[in-house]
Amino acid sequence: MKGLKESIRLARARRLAVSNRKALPPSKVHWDNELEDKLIFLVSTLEQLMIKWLEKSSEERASGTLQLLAEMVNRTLDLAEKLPPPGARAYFLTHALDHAGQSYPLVRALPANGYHLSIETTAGAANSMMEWLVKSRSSLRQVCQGLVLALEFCFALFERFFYLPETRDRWKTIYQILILELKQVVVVLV
Amino acid sequence: MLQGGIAAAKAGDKVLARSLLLRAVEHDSSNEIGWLWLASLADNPPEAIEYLRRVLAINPRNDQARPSLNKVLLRHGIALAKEGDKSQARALLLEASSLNPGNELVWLWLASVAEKPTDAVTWLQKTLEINPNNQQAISWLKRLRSQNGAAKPPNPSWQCPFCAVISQGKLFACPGCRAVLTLTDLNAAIENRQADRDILARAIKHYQNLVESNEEFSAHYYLGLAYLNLNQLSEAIPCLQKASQLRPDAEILKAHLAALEQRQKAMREASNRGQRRPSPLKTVLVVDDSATVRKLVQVILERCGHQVLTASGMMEALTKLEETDPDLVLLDICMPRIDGYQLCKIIKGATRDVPVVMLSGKDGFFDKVRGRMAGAVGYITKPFEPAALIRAVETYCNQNSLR
Repeated sequence: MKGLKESIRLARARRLAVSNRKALPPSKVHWDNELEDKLIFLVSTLEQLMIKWLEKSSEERASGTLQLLAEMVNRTLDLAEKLPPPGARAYFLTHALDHAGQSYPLVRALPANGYHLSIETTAGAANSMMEWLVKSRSSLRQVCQGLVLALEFCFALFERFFYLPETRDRWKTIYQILILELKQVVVVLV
Repeated sequence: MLQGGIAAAKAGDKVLARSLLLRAVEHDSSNEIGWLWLASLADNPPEAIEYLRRVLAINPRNDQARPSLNKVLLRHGIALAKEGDKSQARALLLEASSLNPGNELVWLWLASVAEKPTDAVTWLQKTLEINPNNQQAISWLKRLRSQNGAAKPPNPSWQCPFCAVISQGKLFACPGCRAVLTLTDLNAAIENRQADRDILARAIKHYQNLVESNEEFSAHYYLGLAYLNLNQLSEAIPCLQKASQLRPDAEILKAHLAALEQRQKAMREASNRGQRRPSPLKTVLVVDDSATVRKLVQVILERCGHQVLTASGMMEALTKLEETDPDLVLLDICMPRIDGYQLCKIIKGATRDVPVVMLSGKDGFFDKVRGRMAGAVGYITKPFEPAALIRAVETYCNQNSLR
């Protein structure tokens, strides 16, 4: 019975997708497919980054959380840069940090060079801030939660680049699962 | 922030300077110096133009911004004129001419992008008012008057219609985006695997917008050519048909079009005869503790019409295997409680010979060998591209159905 319902749901979704696709010019359908493929690969890559981080020891994990999240944001920005118009990366970063900063103001203090978050553990401009964050667990948690929110905001911005509502919805369900997993991980480990 | 930005700009740290200056002008949008410095750090001409316009909107007498804007407008206008974007080029060159009406070059280039022959004549006359000995303007004006129509200035260089790479004369394939730029060899265009798909997708979008706004032969032609390079014959043919209608005297295009139509017809017949039968839909069971991976695989495979069942652990996987009859199992290696190798052995021992493909972030030789020893028929490495996953699933499903 369950299998039958699933088949009916799939068939309906397929029929709807076909009718939506027919209403759009092929170039736009092609664009949606290509973008969705790139985003899927991005999410798959981010998921692997998360898994590899979880395999580390608990000490390494605590200090590396911020770098991991920054790396995730930066990789997402790299993909944003490939979208028109030029300079999308800076737009994504500025707005994502602004958005996250409303709930987690400390995120605004993160060193961003206009295109990337530059969080390094080595000696440098960001060093003192990093040391302070690692010592202050509540601040670190706040920044990490802020970065997850920034990442979610970037993902949501990608939605605007899809033409087909069904592709947009599909992308939404994908990134919301990753974000949920990330939120759980941050809450448990930081 | 302004001072910090200027200091960073002087020190050569462009990225930091831009970031600080952007924050400074965001804080105070009437900051003339901030916009001017931003213009000096701009990555591209449109950005510089935008910033310089802001400076002049704040202070129209700024004697640094005025000549700079004029220079950028002229350069970018000429570049656009060379690319064939006449209306944009015209707008920029007209703005440049209003900033410095004494520059003969701007009038000459304006003439080259004139919409009407009368405009071209007016602008050529302006050129000659500034420099009566400008030979190019003299000869062109003479030609225009004798022909009583718009003549274009000769353009020595040629630009790729998809990626704008400049070359000396038209080439068979673009060295930049590797797209085949002619219909003379249809196979080369259709079977082109080297073309940059991103660039072609962007070009398609660009030409789609162009054909929506005006009926230009070149827009339809290049749109068709871009589709051909992406092996999208059914989209390419209508565009080329439209181009052929717009230029009925283009006999060579007609001949190529006929060949393309014949090719499409043959493909359809072959498809009807069942020579290109699509692979039947499969049921795939995905076993992975990561909800993200389960969702990704589900989306990718359902998009191709396959049915996907998911399980997050051993018990759920074995229950699903009992309840359903999947054509393939995609199995994660690193799972809590029991790893993928052990579960693979259990699946192989408990059920019929369902093919199991390991799905893992580990791509070492020994991991693959362990997978084989546990009974897996294949190995897919995470992160995965959708095309690779689809290929793997169809390969392993088909292998099993042939047994």
